[in-house]
Amino acid sequence: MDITISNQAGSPIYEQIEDQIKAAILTGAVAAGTQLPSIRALARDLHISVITTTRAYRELEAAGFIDTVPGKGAFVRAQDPALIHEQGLARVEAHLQAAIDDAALARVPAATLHEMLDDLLKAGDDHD
Amino acid sequence: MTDLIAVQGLEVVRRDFALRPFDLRLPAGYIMGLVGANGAGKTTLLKALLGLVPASAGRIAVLGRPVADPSARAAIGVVLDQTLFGETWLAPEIGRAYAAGYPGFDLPGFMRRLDRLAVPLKTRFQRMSRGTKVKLQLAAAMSHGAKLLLLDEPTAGLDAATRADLMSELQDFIAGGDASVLISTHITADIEDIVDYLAYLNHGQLRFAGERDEFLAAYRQVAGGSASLTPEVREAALGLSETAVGWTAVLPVDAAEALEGVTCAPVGLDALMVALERGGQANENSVEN
Repeated sequence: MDITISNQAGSPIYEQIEDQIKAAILTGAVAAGTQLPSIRALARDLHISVITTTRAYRELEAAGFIDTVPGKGAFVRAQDPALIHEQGLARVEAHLQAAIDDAALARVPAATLHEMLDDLLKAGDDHD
Repeated sequence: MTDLIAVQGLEVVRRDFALRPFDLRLPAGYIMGLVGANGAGKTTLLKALLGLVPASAGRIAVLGRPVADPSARAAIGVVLDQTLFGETWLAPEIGRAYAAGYPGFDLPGFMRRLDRLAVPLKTRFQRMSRGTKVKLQLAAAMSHGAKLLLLDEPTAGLDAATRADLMSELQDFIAGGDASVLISTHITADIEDIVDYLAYLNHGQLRFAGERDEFLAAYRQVAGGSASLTPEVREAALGLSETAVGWTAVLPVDAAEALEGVTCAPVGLDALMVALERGGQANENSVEN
């Protein structure tokens, strides 16, 4: 698994690590049961503090993505597909709501919004 | 979690300088940066931890033992400004001197570290660059079974690549989880990414000792237009810079987030140190330990 962090990214380092590991788990890039790098090895490889990697792993465990076994390490927890789907739906809904709010501010009518969505979907299909 | 350094109420009074009473803890497996301006007392603090200057009050335990306990000697590695090496010695000779002074000195390990750090074996100590000298001292300090490394301003005057090499060595040193590093520096940019804990000294007073993230989270970098520079903001601001196009300063987080019409961002360690050292109110608004 690759993890890339940036000091210029704007979000805290522990959050960047969390997001990348979460994404890898949700997309299936890392299988359930896979062992993650140790907190200390990760800190050394990324040239960051141990407390930072510890925090990232702690948040991941609290959010149900990994399990830490004392003396053994951190492992990817099997994810519930229905729950993942639901979370995906919630994220799409949040993005759509944000678009609706921006459209209201810019006085973009609903019909135009629908058109834009269809155009973008079509453009996405053309690229596939 | 074991504390490799546990200090309570430590006070050091010298002829013309004093460290006011402070507490300090460093658990095993972490790196602590001791930061502050030149003359703030960093070297005095390190010397007190080594028993090289007497404490006027307070208790010090290093590796669970009273300070300067001879049984702890081999377990503490130091890289200080002064060295006891003969100026004409070569690296292998220095290794043998260490082996004579420390039972259980890992001479092969020392030679391997020299190789990894590219320390030349045929150059006399006095002819080595400052960076190479520091690498040599670090290699030795890491070769006698030390669980605690104390370094006093090791990176001053070194080029960026050498400084990065040293930081990597320190991270390797703590990788097992049972050893720690206390490194003093006024070049905070070197250490800000890798330190877990921070101790900030200002005029002999320890203003903060705790997790680096907690220290940084207590402040914000703030910028605003001239209209937003109220007397209240001036009062709270550290390192205030006023220009024709507005102002920037570091403010305590609560004060920063209460302001309107300004931009707030997290503050980096370097910028925070500059602001704290410049901020006139630093002495009154000390951060709680």
